[in-house]
Amino acid sequence: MVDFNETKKGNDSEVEIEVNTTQGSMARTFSKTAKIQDVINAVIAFFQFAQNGSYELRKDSDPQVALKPERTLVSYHIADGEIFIFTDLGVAV
Amino acid sequence: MNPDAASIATIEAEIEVCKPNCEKFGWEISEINNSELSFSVKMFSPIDREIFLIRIDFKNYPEWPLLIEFIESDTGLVGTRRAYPLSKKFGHFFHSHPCICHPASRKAYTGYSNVHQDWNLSSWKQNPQVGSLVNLNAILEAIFFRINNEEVYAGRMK
Repeated sequence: MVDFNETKKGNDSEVEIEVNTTQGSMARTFSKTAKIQDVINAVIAFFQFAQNGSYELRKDSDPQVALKPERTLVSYHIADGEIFIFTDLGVAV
Repeated sequence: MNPDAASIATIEAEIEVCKPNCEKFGWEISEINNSELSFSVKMFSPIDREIFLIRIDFKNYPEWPLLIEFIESDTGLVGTRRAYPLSKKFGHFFHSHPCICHPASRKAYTGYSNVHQDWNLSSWKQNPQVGSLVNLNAILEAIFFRINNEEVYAGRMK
């Protein structure tokens, strides 16, 4: 028998987000305490972007603000279904 | 299809992809000049409201990368340092030459600024440093988000 409260408790600690890039989209579940840099790293790995690139993440609903890599998802009050914009700022050459 | 027509068709399709960002971020993309194979893009920094005007020449694109040049929006002077934005982190994308120093920028190559004589124009998309900047929208996003990030943007180049 499923313990609904336990399931709900588990879900409360995670958030499902979608990240749009110029190469396509990635949907994934993260811990709410994951850092923005963790999401960036996941996108880099998923699309096999260059490890030495310069990247940033913004909320699609508030694209004028670049999210700070060291902050957590929960600190930005990220909810399920939040859509992000991932931008390649160009490899430092 | 002749090469110029192919370049025009490619750039028209890529401009279409930029339209959501034009609405979202206020980019203004001019009509294409079909005889010169060029167009311009105007965008402003939300941080200090500075306007940046960019001329893009696309002859031989996408075989060769775009020729991207900044123009002083108030004086019309082309390719001056003052026309360019300045980054305070993430490398020399806005190079002091001045040019955009990236495999997606034709001006960085031999015969233009000569900043990167080690790069080959015709294999620009295979350059491991090109990343995802292989189309107009990605390149404009890289420029715009650098002038729209307080930790990166440092005003105009002096």
